[in-house]
Amino acid sequence: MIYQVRVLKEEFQETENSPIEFPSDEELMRRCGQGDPRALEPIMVRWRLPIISFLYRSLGNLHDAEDLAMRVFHRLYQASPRYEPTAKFSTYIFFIARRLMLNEIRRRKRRPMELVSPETFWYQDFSDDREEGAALRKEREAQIQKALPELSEKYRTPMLLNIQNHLGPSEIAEVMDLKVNRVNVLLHRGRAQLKKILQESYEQE
Amino acid sequence: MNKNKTPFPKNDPFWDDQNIDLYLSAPLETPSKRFMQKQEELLELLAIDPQRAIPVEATSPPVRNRFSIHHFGSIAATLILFVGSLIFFTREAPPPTEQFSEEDFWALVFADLSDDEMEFFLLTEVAWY
Repeated sequence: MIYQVRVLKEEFQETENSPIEFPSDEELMRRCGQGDPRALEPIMVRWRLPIISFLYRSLGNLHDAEDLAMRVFHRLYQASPRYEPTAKFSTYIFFIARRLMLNEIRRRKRRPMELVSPETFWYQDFSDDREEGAALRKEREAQIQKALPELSEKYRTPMLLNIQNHLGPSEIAEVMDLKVNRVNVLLHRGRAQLKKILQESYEQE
Repeated sequence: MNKNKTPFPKNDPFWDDQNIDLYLSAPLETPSKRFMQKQEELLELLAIDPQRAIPVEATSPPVRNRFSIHHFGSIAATLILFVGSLIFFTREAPPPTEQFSEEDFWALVFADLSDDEMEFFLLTEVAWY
């Protein structure tokens, strides 16, 4: 799938660097709950990339990830009248995203992978932009994306929430309805399991 | 056995914790045009009617018809069972038949017998058992 890379980068950076422009998520949810759908747009701008990224890494299909992300935001809007900011907004939105993702996995048979180009991702620490570096990056990206769906959901989701979305163990515990100690165990075992899968795929090559 | 042969590397040295974190932490750089279009559609729909449902995606499975010809069979069977049980349980009870006990039967049998015949009958009966 061809992406218009950097077309909306300015918009993204604007929202990243100047959060004062938008009210807090809790305030926006309150407005949504009062029937103001315009308040949903800043929430979508702020959360669409983390949600799509999380769902893409989980499902391995960008098309499905985008459709599901749209349903997450719609569900969020529908739930806004009942929303109470007792926990962090990030846990609330990822709780919805995970529930919908699990339903989707149960409802559908596994769909073929639709790997996207590494240029679609924003690797902050990459400095090597040479041609051979890009080719290697593509190979590595395919390796890890193929390995992730083989990882059990109970390991994959905590890892993605932690590494990709910077949620702490206590927040992950709320999203997954688990105890914090259990989350720590899952994080540790998940990493070991992912390494094992990557190693096995490496030995097969 | 050739001891100088280089062993096959067991671990891919690339996939250490740092590189796993690097690849997993990278978010998508930008949403696709398709997503942006859907986002606009959703916001427009919600502006028109906040309670309106999300448009069905092309990838969704077809919604099953709620009523089909197969359902009429079960509905008809249910109705027949219902009406049948209604008729059965609300019908008038038949008039009680005249009671005809075993004693009445034997009385009728022995009514025209003489004493000798009765004795013979009883003896036969006893002999039989």
